[in-house]
Amino acid sequence: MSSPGDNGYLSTSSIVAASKDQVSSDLAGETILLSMQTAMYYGLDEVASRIWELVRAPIRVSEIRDAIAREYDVDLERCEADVVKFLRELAAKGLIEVSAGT
Amino acid sequence: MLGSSPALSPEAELVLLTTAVRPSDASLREALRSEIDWNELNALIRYERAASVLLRQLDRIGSGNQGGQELRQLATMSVMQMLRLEQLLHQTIDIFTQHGIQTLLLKGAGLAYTAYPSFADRPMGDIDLLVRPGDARRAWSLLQKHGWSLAEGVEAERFTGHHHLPPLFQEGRTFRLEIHDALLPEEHPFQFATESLWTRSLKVAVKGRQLTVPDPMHQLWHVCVHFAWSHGMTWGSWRTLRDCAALIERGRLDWAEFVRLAKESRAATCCFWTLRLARRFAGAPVPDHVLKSLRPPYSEYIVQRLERHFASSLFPSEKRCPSVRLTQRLWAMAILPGWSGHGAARHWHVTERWSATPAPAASESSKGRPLMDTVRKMIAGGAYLFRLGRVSLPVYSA
Repeated sequence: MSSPGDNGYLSTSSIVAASKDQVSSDLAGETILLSMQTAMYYGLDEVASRIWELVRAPIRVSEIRDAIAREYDVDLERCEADVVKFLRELAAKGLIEVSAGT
Repeated sequence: MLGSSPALSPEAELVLLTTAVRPSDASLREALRSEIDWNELNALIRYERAASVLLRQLDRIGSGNQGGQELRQLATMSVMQMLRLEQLLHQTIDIFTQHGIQTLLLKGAGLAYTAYPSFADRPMGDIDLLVRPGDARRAWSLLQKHGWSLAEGVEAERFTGHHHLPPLFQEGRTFRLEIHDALLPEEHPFQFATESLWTRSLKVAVKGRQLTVPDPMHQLWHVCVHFAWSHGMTWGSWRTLRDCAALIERGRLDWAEFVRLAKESRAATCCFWTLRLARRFAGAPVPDHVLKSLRPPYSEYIVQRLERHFASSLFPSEKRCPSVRLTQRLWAMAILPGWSGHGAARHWHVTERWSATPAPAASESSKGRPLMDTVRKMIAGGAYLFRLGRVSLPVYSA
């Protein structure tokens, strides 16, 4: 697993999973996260919450992209850009761990 | 013909519905059709720490916005507090592990990891940790070197004979933690050795840690005894009923063994009342034969009257019994301390030891009290008992 921080390497073949350094809870369509490292709270909206649900177990980024594109009926290319951007933000905050996919 | 009056307010009935593992959509919608006073409701859910659970249930039936911004704010605050409490728990466990102190998660923390999907799903006011008696003082001192501190003005001697050391706090008084060296205060009348909790304890894996929790049978026993005896069935009702429903729904209980434990430990009546209320209000699937085995020797008529009294006492309200002494007598009638083998032990003796000022029961002694006050209380008590005959109770419907 990589250390969170500069995660420019994250791509659709990467495997991502929720970090152990956080605790989270769903709340009526939203998710609230607390980073153990920074003691900062984060609120996730509905789509972000769905992505968070998916990363609770290790998953390939392309699988997240496909699931979100399918469930929310959005263009695959745009979906990929948004998903990767969001996952990079999570990784930068230490909320997910990233490993290179094979 | 006198009509019946509900034992609980519409707000209390709605909150009570959320004690069920899966309250029916129809029941929730029907409760929302009552004239809900949202200020009253918000006060109640703040008191019971039920905001996040209520919001989730309302959101599930598409009524999440009905509670307005205040409900959402209360729910968000509640979840944030639970997440922080969970973080503090993990830090505490790590500290104890490093120092070789075995820890068992009691009450809310233990239940959160066994009966609920996540820690935040079981709102709680503090963390209760059981350690071996020989480790208690060391654990308590250790935490004071790691950010926890005593509240000002705590008289440590009042904790002599108590089952936990003086509580520790973080971030003002926002987060509270208690180090227990026993399950119950020394006044308790139960035949239950704290050591048996350790013997049957289980391990749960949480974020790379192995946490120790009581066996579900011991958890249910403790929930029942804590509510029916320690709290006199007048406090912590929402979480108790919900805990019973959640534990029983998990289906890991051996009822024959539970009944045996309840009887042998002198907790049969405590378990009977808690489980009867949990079945009625939270839909907890308690088998008939279990209630029959634990039941005090009363007719159904008496049991129903007592049940109405306890239902009226579930939440703070004007419908509660107006007299402390009558409340104690009805409690004793239900629990049957003599029949149960409790001797002279009563839960209010713990309160009296605790209270800096005399407990209400002591102050209610007839000595020196003006006659009119006594008469007024007797009339209020009589009116309350009369009302019980006409009270109607909500029933859980799946």
